[in-house]
Amino acid sequence: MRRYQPLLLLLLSLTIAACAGVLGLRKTADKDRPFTHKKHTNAGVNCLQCHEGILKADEEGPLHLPSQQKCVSCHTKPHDTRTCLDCHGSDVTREGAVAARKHLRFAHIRHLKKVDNQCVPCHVSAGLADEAERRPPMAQCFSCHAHKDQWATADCNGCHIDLPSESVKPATHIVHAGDFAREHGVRAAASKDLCATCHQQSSCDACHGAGTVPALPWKFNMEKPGLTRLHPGNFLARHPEESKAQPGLCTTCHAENFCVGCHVDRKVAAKAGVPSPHPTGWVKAKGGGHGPAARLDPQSCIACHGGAGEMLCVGCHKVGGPGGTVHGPAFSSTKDKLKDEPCRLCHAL
Amino acid sequence: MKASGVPIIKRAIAAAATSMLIFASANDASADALRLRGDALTQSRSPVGLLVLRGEDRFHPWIDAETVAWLGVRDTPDATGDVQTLTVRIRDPKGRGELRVGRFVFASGAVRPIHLDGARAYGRLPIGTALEVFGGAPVAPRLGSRMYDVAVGGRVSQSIGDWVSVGGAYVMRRKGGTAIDQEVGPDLTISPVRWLDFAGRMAFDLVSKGPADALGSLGAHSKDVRVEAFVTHRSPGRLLPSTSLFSVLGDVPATTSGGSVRWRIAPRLDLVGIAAAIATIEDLGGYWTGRASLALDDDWAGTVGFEVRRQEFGTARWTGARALSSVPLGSSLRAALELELVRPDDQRGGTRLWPWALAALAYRTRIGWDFGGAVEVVGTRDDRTELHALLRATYAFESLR
Repeated sequence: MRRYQPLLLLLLSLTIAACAGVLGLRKTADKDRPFTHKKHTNAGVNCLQCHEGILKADEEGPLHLPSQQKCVSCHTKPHDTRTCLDCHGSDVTREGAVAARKHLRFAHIRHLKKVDNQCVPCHVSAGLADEAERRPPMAQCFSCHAHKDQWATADCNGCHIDLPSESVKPATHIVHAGDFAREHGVRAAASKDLCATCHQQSSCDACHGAGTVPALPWKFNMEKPGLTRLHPGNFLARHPEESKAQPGLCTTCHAENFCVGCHVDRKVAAKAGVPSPHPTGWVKAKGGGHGPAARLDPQSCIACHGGAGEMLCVGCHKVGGPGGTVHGPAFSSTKDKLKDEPCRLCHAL
Repeated sequence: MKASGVPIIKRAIAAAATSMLIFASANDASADALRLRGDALTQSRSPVGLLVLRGEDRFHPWIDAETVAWLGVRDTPDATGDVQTLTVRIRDPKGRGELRVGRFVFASGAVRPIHLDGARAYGRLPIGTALEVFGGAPVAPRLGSRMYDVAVGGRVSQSIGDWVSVGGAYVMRRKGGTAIDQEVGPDLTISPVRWLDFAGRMAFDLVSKGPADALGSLGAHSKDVRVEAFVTHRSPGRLLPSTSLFSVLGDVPATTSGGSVRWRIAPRLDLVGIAAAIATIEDLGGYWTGRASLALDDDWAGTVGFEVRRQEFGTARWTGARALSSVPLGSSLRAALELELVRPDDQRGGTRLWPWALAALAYRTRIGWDFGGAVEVVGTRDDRTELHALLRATYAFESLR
């Protein structure tokens, strides 16, 4: 095997090289050549030479992005007959500026006064790199006390006009990929404000409601199979195994009689004429497999024997009955065994 | 709600059409500053129409309203439907407090989520202290009512900057006057540095005196990698209402501990691995999942993916594989294909496989309409093959300008 190692390494390297484009490792030709802020800054071009009028820019009005005339006022001999913006300056940057105007309450005129009409305190990356994105990150806003207080009280409306409509995904602190369906409960427990910046009340209710919608929510997004899903694929076929393998998990969303409702509709609940799915010896005078199985996953019993069917147990497990006690290890209860449900079903007979 | 015994497909169309009609009439009546949405999903298996209405106004940000209702049809002669959410929220735009009234799920802190008809009040101080209380009647499906059913509770929390939040919550639910759930529990999140975070919560059942549900998660991430270690501990008997006969079986908890890794190994390739061990006093098992997602473009608009999963615990043993792709065909059309094959270890009665496939096509217009259609081929547990069709129509209307 060892003598094949160099060959395998070579094969792997060639495969990666061949797939570099597919994997996004090779930069594709940049047809939207980003505008090189750094080059202009280093050449001593003042911000206001291009962004004329920005000092008085309010929440509305023009965006103060440079026009063709502004470029040719310096570049008097253009190398091409097309307009500069046909090639230079990414569409994404312009669209970003338009989106920011639409979604944010921001006026340069109010901010510039506080920083002596200097641009760099906020646009710190203007002279550092060549990427076209120059809008300050949100963290930059929090360097000011007023905005820090707004963040602390989740006063998003101070800056954001309508946050849900922005469909923002703050990838820096929220990752919905991986196994987020499992993670979301523990993370939302103490960070509900964060969730609420994007999600409405209905996001919780669709799954945690008393009677969940009888169509799996993912079916509304049938064309997006990559989304995190609680019940992916052929869950209906797998659901007994999924339920048994993670005891108690189903009960965290579904009410105890959720299963029996569907099983009755589909005629798989326990009743006369329906064959028993249990193996021979499932119920014996002493033991049998049903006791340990019920302790491990009581929800699977309730799926067929829920509601009135629970009385099936009481026939044998009442006090003095042949089934003996049902109480397993570490059982304790504050209930009155002669008065309260379900204790009285066995103890008060 | 009773429907006549007309064929299911007619009732399916009726349910979907009713949902859209209600929505259309709501839309006609709309004034400014509304966000409305209607979804109708007709499935040959279980047709359902979903109606989502939301009204909010940026000029009056102190009030908004939201409702989600569905209408459905089952194989039985009964039509069915319910209101999931129906709330009016009054809030301080500065974030210092809010009051929500109506039907909603209270999910906060360590205690179990409760769906109720009632009210929730929330107040927050600038020093990071927050208090929320709720009260009402637990929801009885289909707008039913139950005498003497009540749920009350709340949560108090304190946050310190962005890096610590600690809280304690309590909930008590009564059914017919009898306490069926009573839980108390702490929750905690810590993020001492930007790349590291911990979240944990534990619900303690006050009726049978023991932990009902506990979760903990420790995560670390860099730009391209996220690693997480997690543990969950659940006592199925304590998660049931204490009036259920099955709640007296005692404490046989299941503890799951494991980890997950998400690695963007290349700009267009994501790998995810999850593995966990599940332990009870009688059994030890676990599951693992491996998933790869390859983007077809730099914006991840189109993807192909492959996933393998193995589960092994008690009698629940199976291996499955899933392949998926979602490709944009122009700016408004998208096609998707999913294939799944599951092989249970229990091969009694010959080789058993549960295949499943779904092919979908969706079209979105520029004026708020969104249509989707899919064909689903399902292999059932009893080795039959079923063919189902799904049709979705959505209309979203926004007048927030």
